[in-house]
Amino acid sequence: MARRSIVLCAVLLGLLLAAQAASAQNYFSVVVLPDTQVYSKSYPQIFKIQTDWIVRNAAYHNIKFVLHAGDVVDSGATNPAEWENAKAALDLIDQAGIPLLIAMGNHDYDDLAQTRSSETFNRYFGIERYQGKPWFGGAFEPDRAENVYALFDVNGRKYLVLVLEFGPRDAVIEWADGVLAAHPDATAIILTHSYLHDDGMRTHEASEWNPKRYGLGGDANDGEDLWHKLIKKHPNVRLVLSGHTLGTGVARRVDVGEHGNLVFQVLANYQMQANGGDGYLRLLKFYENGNIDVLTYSPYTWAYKTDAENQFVIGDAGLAVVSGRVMNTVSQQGVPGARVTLEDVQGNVKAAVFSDEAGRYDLVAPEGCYILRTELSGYEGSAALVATPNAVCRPETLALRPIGVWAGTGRTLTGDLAEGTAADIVLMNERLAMAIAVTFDDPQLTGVTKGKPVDLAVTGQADAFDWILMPYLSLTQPTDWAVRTVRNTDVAVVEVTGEQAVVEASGVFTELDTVTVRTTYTLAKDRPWVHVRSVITNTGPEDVTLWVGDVMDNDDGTQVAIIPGYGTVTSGAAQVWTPEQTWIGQYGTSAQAFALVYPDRPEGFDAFGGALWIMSRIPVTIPAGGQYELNRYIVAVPTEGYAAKADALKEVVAHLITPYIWAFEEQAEVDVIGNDNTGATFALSQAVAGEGTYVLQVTPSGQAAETKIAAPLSGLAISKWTSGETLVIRAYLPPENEMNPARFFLGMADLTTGWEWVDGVFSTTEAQPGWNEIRFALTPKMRALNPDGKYMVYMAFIEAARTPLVQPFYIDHIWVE
Amino acid sequence: MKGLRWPICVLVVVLVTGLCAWNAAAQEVVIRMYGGYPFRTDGKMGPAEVLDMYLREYERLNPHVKVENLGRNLNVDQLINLYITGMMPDIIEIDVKFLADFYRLGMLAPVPEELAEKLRAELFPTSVNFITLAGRMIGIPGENMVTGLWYSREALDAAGVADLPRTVQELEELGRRLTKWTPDGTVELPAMIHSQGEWAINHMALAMLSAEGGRVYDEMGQLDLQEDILHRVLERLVSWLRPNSWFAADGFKREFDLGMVPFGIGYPWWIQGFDLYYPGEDYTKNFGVTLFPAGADYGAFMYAHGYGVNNRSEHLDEVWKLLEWLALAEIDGITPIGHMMATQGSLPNRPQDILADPYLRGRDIYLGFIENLNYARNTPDWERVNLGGAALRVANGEMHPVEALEKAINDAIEATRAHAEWLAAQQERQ
Repeated sequence: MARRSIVLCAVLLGLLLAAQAASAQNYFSVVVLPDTQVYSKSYPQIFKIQTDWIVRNAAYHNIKFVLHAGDVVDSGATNPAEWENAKAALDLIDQAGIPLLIAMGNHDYDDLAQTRSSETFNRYFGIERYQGKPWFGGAFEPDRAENVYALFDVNGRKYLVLVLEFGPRDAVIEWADGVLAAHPDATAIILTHSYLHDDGMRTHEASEWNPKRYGLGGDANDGEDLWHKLIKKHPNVRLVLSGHTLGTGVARRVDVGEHGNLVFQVLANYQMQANGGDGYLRLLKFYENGNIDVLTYSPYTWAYKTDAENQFVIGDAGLAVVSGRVMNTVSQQGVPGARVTLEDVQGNVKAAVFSDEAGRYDLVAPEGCYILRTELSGYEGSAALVATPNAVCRPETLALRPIGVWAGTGRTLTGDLAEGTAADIVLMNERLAMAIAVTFDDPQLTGVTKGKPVDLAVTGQADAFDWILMPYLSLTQPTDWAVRTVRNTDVAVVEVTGEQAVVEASGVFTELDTVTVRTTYTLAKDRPWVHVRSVITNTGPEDVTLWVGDVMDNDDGTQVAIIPGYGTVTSGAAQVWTPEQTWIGQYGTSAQAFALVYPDRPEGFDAFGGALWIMSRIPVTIPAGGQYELNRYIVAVPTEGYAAKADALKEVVAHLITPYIWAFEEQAEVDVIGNDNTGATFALSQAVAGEGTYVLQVTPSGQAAETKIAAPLSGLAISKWTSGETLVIRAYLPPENEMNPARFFLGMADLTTGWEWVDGVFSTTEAQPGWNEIRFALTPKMRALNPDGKYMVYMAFIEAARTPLVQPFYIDHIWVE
Repeated sequence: MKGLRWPICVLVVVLVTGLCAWNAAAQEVVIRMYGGYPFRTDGKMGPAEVLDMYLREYERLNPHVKVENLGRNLNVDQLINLYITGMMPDIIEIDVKFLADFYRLGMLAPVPEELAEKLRAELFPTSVNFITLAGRMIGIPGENMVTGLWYSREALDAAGVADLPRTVQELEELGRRLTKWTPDGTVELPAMIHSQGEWAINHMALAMLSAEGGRVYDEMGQLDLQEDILHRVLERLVSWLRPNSWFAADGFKREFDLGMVPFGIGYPWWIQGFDLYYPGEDYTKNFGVTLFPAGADYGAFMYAHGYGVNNRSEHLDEVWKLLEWLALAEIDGITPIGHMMATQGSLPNRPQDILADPYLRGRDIYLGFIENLNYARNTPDWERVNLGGAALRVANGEMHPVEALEKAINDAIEATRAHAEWLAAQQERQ
């Protein structure tokens, strides 16, 4: 009887929980539609998907009203189809009875805001949309919809939504001032198309896309004006929403109003992204505790943006105000217009503001320890360490941020051999630095230095090079380094992100002007090499036969060349070499060594030169209208003893020449792998034909449910690992086996400072008897490895019912792609 | 002539006695069965060993019966071939979706109504319903698995969360609040994980479908996917599965086993992971299972195995007697099948079994799953439709949502058609 009671209780508990599963929401939502102009013009279906989603999800998200941030259309009055598309989409919201307020953007004016003519906007989305609605409060002009307000009562709280035109006129601000003052008990949300810039500053005189730069008349106000003339004066203003600004299209800031209220200001605009914004909209969830969750969702791609600029919480908790005054130290007067910033210890600007007429500033930021900076043209800047009231500053926590990867002008390499000037481009990461000539003209490369490397060193060491002639072209086989034949006309930094920097040079072959050359230098974070890709294009009507290659001239003391198969070459006499592998190297007296590695193993590759300079030579025929691509890596590695310099290059070169992480071609690779206590044994085998000479034979113990390979991962193999997203095991499962593995698990532990689990993932590959490529989608944690770390990779092979495997199976190679 | 009478009588007596002895030996019944589980090689007691123990006991109680446990055979084609050639064992153990097909092909005998009545009275209704086709039980319930919402008390306590989510909105909100993101939006630690496999995503998708009031097939077995519900389910699931969402499409299972991840959509057998990896003294104090707010209602997905009986068996009565004993006989508070399920990490089919010693450890967890059984509205046939695959294709960027809905419906139509063709082809073979 007692047993039955317990079971009954469990069932009753289930029913009770089910009854509680009512949708009692403690929030309501507001949807903000950022600029939709590209949808109206080119992707009307995406606009409709957005509004259809709002209607379908109104109950689910408890959506109380929708705000459009302006730029409903793109072409002003000139393209009626855009207006029809917009109306078809927005009508869905109106027809569902969901309140919709629309701010007017510059593109919504008849003449794109050359004047304030707004006939088309008012014809499609005029005041009649609002009239008669219980929530409609009023308009600045009774027959026009540019400036309107609405009042909502939600869960016993009043909300005022005030919609202001693009660059509001002074008279509009005066009207808005009265509206805000007349509803002091309503939390005010201000919606206007242009207000916040993507740098987090309100639009000001120097801002791009400032409304004052259109044709709206002298009394147009920008974001900074709106703040001072209207917003900061009212204690009930909580939120300001805007669009318009390009760049990243997202920003947010918080300021303290004159009455001590915090005002949150948010920019969102995705029009510059794929498909005119990929359908992203903002979903603001207003909670009873006053917090607002801001989410960015696309009903078109069914995806949320999760970065801190697109998913965040608006709330007062944990914020502090840093206030003060910027003073002219000579006149002892307040300085208006100075930019005052709070930076965290990593140098990220967390809040910024311009000082007001009296030099005063108020900055709002999360509690913490900051560097307070003040800057203004014509003044020396100042900086101070400040702590917010509830924070404790520990100056020792200030840290230098590693550069990651950098490219630009204004820097030079160090050392006597360094020739590049501040006008030349430096490519640099934590491992190597290289200067590429822009203006410097080397006496040996007169007229063709531009776009070529002129300085190269391991980061922190002195330059060791005179130059690298990269590439040369020749109609005959060159027998001297002086092949000054590729003249670049342009060289520029084309990409710099935290992950990689790219410099591109382009020019012509001086012996045949129908042949052009475009060379890109790519340096990635943490890599001791620069990937150099030259695309040689034959634009002429005939096939062209050429010799292509590079010449390296290391001028470090006691120069030595390295030729695979010949070892180190100390003689300066030039001769032809036939390297065993497609790379050449050089070093001198400093603690560094260099190589040029050609991973594509071009046919006919040889080397010419000696200790003083060495060049690669590759015969190529490029068909009329065709291209040839020369890939190579410039490698720079630190070394210890002089004798070990060639050895120092070995690991990097081997890494660049072979694409595999584990090739299982040498016993040494087998010696370092383990079985993670599963009893499996390993041996090199030629039992089945793999792509190389050997395969790894894995013999399970017959005792363990999982047969495992534990393989160490460190050094350069980590960069190979992190270069892709999928790990592939090429495995042979003998058809004659009674049982073969059917499930595959990949796990990883960090052994850098102990043993710490990183992550694991099952393969979705359904293996068949015979050869298989077993694929694992590496998880973010498995890809974000420390390049200097030590890891153990666990590969588990499991029978479908976890029955211990008995018979051997085989692994050819393992790589990441 | 008279002298021959006695020897003839003696001969007759001997012949009659021999005939009787031969006849008695011929009455011994041999039942051959696929027990459903492979024997372990490490000397421990797995479900196969537990089954074997009970079979020997049954033989002791019924000396005229000998039961051969042939281990496991999940090869559908092979089983059909064995049936056609008259070599299929008396009892087969396999996923109920295959039992249903075998029954449709006429290979299985339905459970005798008298036994079915007893099973209906004693077992969970879901266990019985799941193995019932057109009103007839087609086998005896075995492995009984259902999805549930796992949670880690440590992870929730660390985040100051006292209440479990009761609505899908609350789950999404908690999910976002409890996920650890880097400033660029990369997930460091998600709020929820699943079993890491397309099949598991599909189970979750089908649970969400039923939570929204949808279904895959109607009572007549006709495809009955409603586009608006499908849209809602796929969109929600894809938005959860997208890279860097609060719900990890891949990985983090080990972190869950360690108690670091707040939620997981999974099965009872996750307990095995806690046994291996949970660092605390007693994983049952940390981990719990509750209902999964999967849409407008809670949702769960059930899959199960069962024992089917070859309708060509020469000892049908003895076979059903054995299965009745395995399913309903109580020995030390638990049925033989219940004991096997406890060893396997499955829910029992008879409610009282949960109170027996084999379920002692982790009983609260199993009770959490038992609550979820109330929301498992699917039939075995639902799994034929791969909504999870459609969601994953979109989440991984292989397909756009615009195509996904249409493709999911077309794929379901195709899968249904292909299954019907397969059934017809198998029918023809017989």
